[in-house]
Parts: sequence; C-alpha cells; structure tokens
Amino acid sequence: MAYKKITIDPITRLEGHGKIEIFLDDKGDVAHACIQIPELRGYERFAVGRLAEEMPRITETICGVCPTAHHTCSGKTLDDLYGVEPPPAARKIREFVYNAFMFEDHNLHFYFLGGPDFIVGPDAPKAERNILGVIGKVGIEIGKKVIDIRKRTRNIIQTMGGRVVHPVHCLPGGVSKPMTKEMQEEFKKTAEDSVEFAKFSLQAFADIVLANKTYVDLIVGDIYKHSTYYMGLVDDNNKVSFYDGLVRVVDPEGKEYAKFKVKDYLDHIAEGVESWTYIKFPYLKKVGWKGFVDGKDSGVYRVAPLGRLNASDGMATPLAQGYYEKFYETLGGKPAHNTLATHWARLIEAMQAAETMVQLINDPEILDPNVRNMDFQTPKQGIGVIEAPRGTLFHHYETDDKGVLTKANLIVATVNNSAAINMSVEKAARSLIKNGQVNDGLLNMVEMAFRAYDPCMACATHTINGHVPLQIDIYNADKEIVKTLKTV
Amino acid sequence: MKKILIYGMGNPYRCDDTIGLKIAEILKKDIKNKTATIKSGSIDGLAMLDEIIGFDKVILVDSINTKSGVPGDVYKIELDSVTSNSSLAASHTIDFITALRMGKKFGYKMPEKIYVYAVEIKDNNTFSEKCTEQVSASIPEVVKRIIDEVSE
Repeated sequence: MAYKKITIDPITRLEGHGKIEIFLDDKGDVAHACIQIPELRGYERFAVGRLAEEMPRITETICGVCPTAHHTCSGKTLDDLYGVEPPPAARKIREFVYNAFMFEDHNLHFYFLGGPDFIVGPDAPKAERNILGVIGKVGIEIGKKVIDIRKRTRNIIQTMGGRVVHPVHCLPGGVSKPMTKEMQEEFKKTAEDSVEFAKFSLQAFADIVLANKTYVDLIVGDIYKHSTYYMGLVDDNNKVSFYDGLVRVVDPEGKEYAKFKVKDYLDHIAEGVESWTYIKFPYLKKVGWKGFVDGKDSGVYRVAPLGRLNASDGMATPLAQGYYEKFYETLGGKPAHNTLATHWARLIEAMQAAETMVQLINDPEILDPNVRNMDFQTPKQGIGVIEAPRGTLFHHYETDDKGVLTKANLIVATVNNSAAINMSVEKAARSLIKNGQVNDGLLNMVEMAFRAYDPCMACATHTINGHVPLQIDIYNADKEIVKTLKTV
Repeated sequence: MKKILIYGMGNPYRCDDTIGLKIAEILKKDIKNKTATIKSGSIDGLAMLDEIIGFDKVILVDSINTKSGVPGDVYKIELDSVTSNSSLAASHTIDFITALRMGKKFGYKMPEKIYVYAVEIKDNNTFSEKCTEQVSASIPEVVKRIIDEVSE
C-alpha cells in the first residue's frame, strides 16, 4: 500500500520538542498517526551520585513552567526517604503554595493555550489563534485581570519559595521559613480574589463554550472520546486531592478498580517502551499492555483534570462540588470520556485550588513558627507523589546510607497520558482527514486532541525569538516532499 | 537616570545553556552602576514581562544555537529585529515577543531598548553545570561588553 506522510514538527503551544506524524494511505485517509518525542532528557541518570537533598532543586529544572510540582513532590519524597513528618504549619504552607501554583497554572492553560481554540475558534486564522486573539475577543480589561491574578498568585510562590521559577522552600521535614502575619494578610486577599476569578472563568466557559452548540457537539462528540481507566489522588472521602492522599483508579465504567498507597505504585504501574520514541508508556500492570487501544481490557489509563474528576467521588470544596455536579449532568454521567472536557475540568479544579487557599490561609496554625522536623532516620528509599497540573507525578529515590542517590525513577505527569495522547491524536486524525484533504484548520483540530492534555515534554529549552516553528511536510509514496506548509 | 535590567537566562544543569547564568553571576559582582539590576534564572516570556516592566533598557544574556555558528561566537541582537509569529508559543506560557506585544497593548511602561547578548553554544544536551571550553572562553568578552555598555 502506498503511503503519504504528514509531519507537524514541532507541535505548536506544546512545551518542549515533539512532532506529530500522520501517515495517509493511497486513498488519502489516515492509516496511522503518532506523536514522537525526539529529545532524551535523562534526569534519572544525571541524579545518580548526587546528594538526595539536592533533588528538589535539580528535578524542578526539568521544566521551566511546572517546577513547583517537581519541587514539592521531591520534598515529599525526601520526607519519606529520611522518615520525617513535616510539622502541621509546614504541611499547610506547602499545601497553600501548591494550590496557588495549581490555580495559576490551570488559568494560564485556559486563557493562553486551550483558550485560543475555543474563544477565538478552532478554525480561526492562525494569526489570531493566540493570546492576543483572545484579548481581542474578551477585551483588554479582562486580559489585564488574567495577568493581575496570575502575578499575585505567583507572588505567593515567590514570597514563600524565594523565587517564582524554581522555588527553594521544600526541605526534608518541612519548609525553609515560616509565614508571617503580614504575609498572611496579603495572601488572604489574593486567595479570596482567586475564588472570585475562578467563578469568572467558569462563567466565561459557560458563556463562550457551553452556550455554543458547535463547541458542545465537539466536546461530547466521538472525535475526541476514549473509554479508558482513570487515575488520581483522593482524600479520605475519595474527593479530589492535589497535595496528598491515596492513588485511586476507576475502570471505564467508573467503578473503583484500585486504591493504593504511593509506596506500592510499582505493583500497579508498569512502563512500556516503543522503538520509535524516547517517551515511555505507563499502563496498569494487572490489566496489561494491549497496545494503543481503549476499553476495559486495555491497561491504558488517563490522568490530569479529567482523570482526577473521574477517579474521585467529588470535589473537596463546596463551590467546586457544585460545578462538578453540573459537569457530569451536562456530559451525561460518570465517567466522562470526552477528552476536550478536560478544559472544563481544569477550571473546576482551579476553583477547588482557590477555595483550598482560602481555607488554609485562614487557619491560625499556618503561622506557627515550627516548620521543620529534623529527626532524620538513615536514608534508604523514598517514594513521593503529588497531583501536578498535568496529572499524577511520582518520584522514587534510592540512596546509600549517606544519602547519595544510587537510583532515581520519575513518572512525570504527562508520561502517564502518553499512550492516551497518541490514541487521541490518531482518532482525531482519522476522523478529520479524509481523501487527502488536509488544511490548517483540520490540523489544528488534530492538535486540539493533545492540547487538551496540556502535555509538557519540557526541558526549559527556548529559542532566541521565543517561538516554536510549525512545519507540516506532506510526503508521497516515494518519501518525496510534495508540499510544505509553514507558519512563519 | 535610566533604569537597566540585565537578565541571564538558562538551565543550570544543561552544559552550555548555563552560560547566561554564569555571566550574570559575574556581573552581579563586577557592575558598580547602581541603576543596573542584575538577575538570572529560567524564565518564560510571560514571566519576563513581569520582570521588564518599568525598566528603560533590558539586556538579556542567553545561549544560541544557529545553523552555521562557531561555538563561542557572541552576537548582540536588538529584539525588534527578531521576527516572530505570535500565533506560536510554548505550552503554559507565551513567547517573549508576544509578551512584549501584550505589554504594549495593555499600556504598561515597556523598555525603550531590549538587547540579547547571545553566545553560540556547542552542547546543551549533556547534563553538566559547566560549559564547554570553547563557550567558557567567551565569558570575559561578554562581561566586558556589557560592563562597557552599562557604563556609557
């Protein structure tokens, strides 16, 4: 059979380098599609021989955009490694900072990344499908509001973490400094305003997306749908938890499949490899790897906002719970398999993060100056988990008795979704590209399939002019380029 | 007095990508001009917008990897001369040019001049806190040029 090959390389609005390849058969229909990640990061190898206490500062440099997740997860892993429990105030400060991070990261994705697809439109001209296009639609004042709340929530990370990118506040057994009364007063206002902003965002989603039948049809339609397992951290009441809890997995019918402590993660998760990419493909060990297919017999699972909501019995805060109920009512019950609904789930999670900030900052115990427990035990192994914006993040360190790393294993959030992202891209491509008809709007709709996951293949790489060029190469059966589409 | 920001950029564990951070650390000690603020870090376009508002002049120090460049070569690039399509951006953030356009649109006080001192690199894939020899050799030149520029 003759094939044509279409390459989207690198993907726009995707951190790090990656490319989508779409192979057409001789009828011009999609025979196969996949995402390739050409870069090998290698942090796990680099870590060996370093002191474990350096890991919160090293692993956060994996990415310039989600460092707080790695930093905090690494801090929790060191707690386990050294057998220390942070004092209550330290835990509350960590959790407060972490929820501020979740809030600002989720909002950033909605307004800057997912936003252009919906607010400007999936088939709008490329030149308008960006934040400037969003501002053009919603107005400068709302744009300033987005920037302002982001700046203030990042100021929480800056104040407690020393710096906003690559913070340095998590230490084994606690945090580097207590919170003062003055900080608390400022943060209270930010937290309260964050709740109001979360309401505003959810209303904007209702007005712009849910009120538009075309968009709703896209969300609930079959193009962006996969029936998979879902994973997320839950608290004692099986409610969504970002900072800590048990890992819960539900099956494609929404029934609890597993619930386990993070120390047992290797009993439940295995990682497969494919020869064509550096990225690994985690799957549920006891279900098994059946390839890039969905359904109950396939070990493919999904994480991140949609995964977390599906894996839980509800949100941990009252306002978020109300939106959660509306979410499933609109989507026809639980679990929701609609990939694009992840954008909506993300905003509901932003509400929970804001409400949690309010709860924590009003807790008098957060001002307790005792923020460090240094009753360290001899290190050997530490395992930690956290819910990063993009999904469940696992850190696992083994050391000698001096705390020098002998082994490190990281399952980063996006990697959990790697099989599902490939499946989603292929399904969207198959559904949208027919008879060799490929245009920019259709390719953007293929990109929307992975953008919903907010994937991060990051490495803090950057280019001098700051942009990632998009090039689409179309090959004939002889692998000759017959057409090239460039965005610049 | 014009307010100047010098910002060294890079990943501290990616070999030659550390060059901007290293130069910033030297400048923090060597620059006596009190109107100059020197910072460093790994930062995205939108976060950079927060940093540059209110400054008259911004000097970024970064690594660069061009098709035909020789490792250690130093370029001074005025940012306005760099073309960018703002429809493209990294995940979770926006590119710097888009951030600049956004800042202007919002009416923020933006710098009159933004320059990038960029050092051609050899290796940003090896995990190392040190630069390669060829790239390290360029550090004195960049430091001198920036000190001269700030002293003008």
